[in-house]
Amino acid sequence: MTLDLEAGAREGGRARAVRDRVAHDERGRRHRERTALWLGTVGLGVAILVFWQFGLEHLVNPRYVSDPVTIAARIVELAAEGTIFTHVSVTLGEAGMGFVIGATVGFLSAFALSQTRSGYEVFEPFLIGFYSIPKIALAPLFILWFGLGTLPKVIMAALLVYFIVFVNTATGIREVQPGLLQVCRVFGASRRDLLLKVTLPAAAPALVASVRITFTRAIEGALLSEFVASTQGLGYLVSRASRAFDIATVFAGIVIIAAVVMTANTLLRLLQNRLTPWHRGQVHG
Amino acid sequence: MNSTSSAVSFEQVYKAFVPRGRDSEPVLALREVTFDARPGEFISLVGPSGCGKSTCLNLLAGLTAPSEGVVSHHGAPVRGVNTSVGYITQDDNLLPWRSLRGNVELSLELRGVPRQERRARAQEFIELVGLAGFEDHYPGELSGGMRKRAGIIRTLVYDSDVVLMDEPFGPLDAQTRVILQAELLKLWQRSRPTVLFVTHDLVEAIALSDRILVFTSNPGTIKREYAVDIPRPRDPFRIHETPGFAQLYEALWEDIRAEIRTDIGTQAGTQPGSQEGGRTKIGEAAS
Repeated sequence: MTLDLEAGAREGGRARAVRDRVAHDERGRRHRERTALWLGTVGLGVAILVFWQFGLEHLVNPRYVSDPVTIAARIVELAAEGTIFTHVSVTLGEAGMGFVIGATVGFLSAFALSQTRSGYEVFEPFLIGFYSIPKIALAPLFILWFGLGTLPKVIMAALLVYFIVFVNTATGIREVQPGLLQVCRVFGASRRDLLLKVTLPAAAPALVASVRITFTRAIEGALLSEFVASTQGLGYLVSRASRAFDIATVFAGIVIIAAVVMTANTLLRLLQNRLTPWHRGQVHG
Repeated sequence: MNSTSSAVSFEQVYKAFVPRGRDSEPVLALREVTFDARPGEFISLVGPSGCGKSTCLNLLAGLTAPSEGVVSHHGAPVRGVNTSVGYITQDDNLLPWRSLRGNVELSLELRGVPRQERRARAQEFIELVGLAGFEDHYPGELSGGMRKRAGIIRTLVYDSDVVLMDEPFGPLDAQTRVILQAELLKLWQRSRPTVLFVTHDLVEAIALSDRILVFTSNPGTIKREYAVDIPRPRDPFRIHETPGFAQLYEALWEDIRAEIRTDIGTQAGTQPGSQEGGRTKIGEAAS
């Protein structure tokens, strides 16, 4: 700021006028660009909705695709009944619990295994093998093993979260610059200092970033299990409605799921920027 | 020379290491290296890449042990990590999650210096190198020259009597380099630590040092040493105008040119201690 002021004082009136004009033009250009983008986005959204409402019925049987107005009315109805809040809270509860368990266990196990070089390498093939199993294939087994209640959903959500957090934390820890550790050792750092002041913060961006993206996975895991067998939750709502050919409710459920996930993502992104302001982490998974 | 009165002494030091990777033959990085540094002496180590200059610093820091011979600090052989030296690496190695102030305070914090004193000492050094006003910036928000200054003061702030510097100005542009050389001399005059300074830049070596050790290419050993008789305080901006500069530069360059020439034939394969992604790995036997 002070530098700008000094620069301003040094230059004459003409130079200042040039700077002001360029700044003004640039502001105008940016504003027009933003407006154009915004109009484009809104226009495309409206076009899609209008086509769905009035055009789609000429292409396919409207029984199967419903329409935006009916869906909106259905959402309002579900909200008025109050059942939707039960479904949302059940799914969020399962996802939340699975998320906390998966992220905690993922972080702790990655941390423990990364303490020794060979520890990680012994486990790695098993982890990769297990990671490559499509988790949906396990959903029916979980229902068999853990029943119809909350437990199989929580476990599925935790599992989806676990691997991503594990891999990202382990990578973060293993990729700490060796030079950083050595300089700190010469500075007099103990093993504990290195862990708390170098390794952990160095791995934090990867961890925080992976935690952010995995909340979506936790919701997916809960929904997936609900589809297979359940008595409540958003997945139950959608799958029951689809079996009853109640397409409007299916779409209403999907819209609500999307809204929940987007809200959660926004909140977590804000949290991430607060926790690791120096870094926008790369996420693997 | 009586080794108990020297700040640093290398006696008949050899260092061999096995590079990572399959079927690799052990490489001799240092052969029969012997030298002493008086307290307060500024010594530059120059020579072709991969000649074991950095290995000398790592030995003194205790990050690696000699395969033979003795490396001593104030007459006592170095065993394990030597926390009484200061080490400034080519990479600034700042902690990206700590502000400039936090980084400068780190070494003091690890040494258990109380908070108030830490703050005051860090502030003093931050002001000395003109970084006042940037205390709360993260390293990612600082320029290359500013990061370099931060890397230097965070090591000098704990007043070790021996400071190891491994091509600290390597990646900087020519002007910033000279500015930082002048600042380094100013900081050095304050407490006069012994400095071992690795560099490829012969002008830099002349501008800063009392003595210059020329290393042969691998295995590294001391080929010749030169005393730099230019009086202090020196001005790195005008060092090339100093009488005697040209002759010294010519002599140094002649020595090194011979090494590079013999090196070309042997360097075709893998070079020990090569740099990966532009980062020198300290602790390994690097250049």
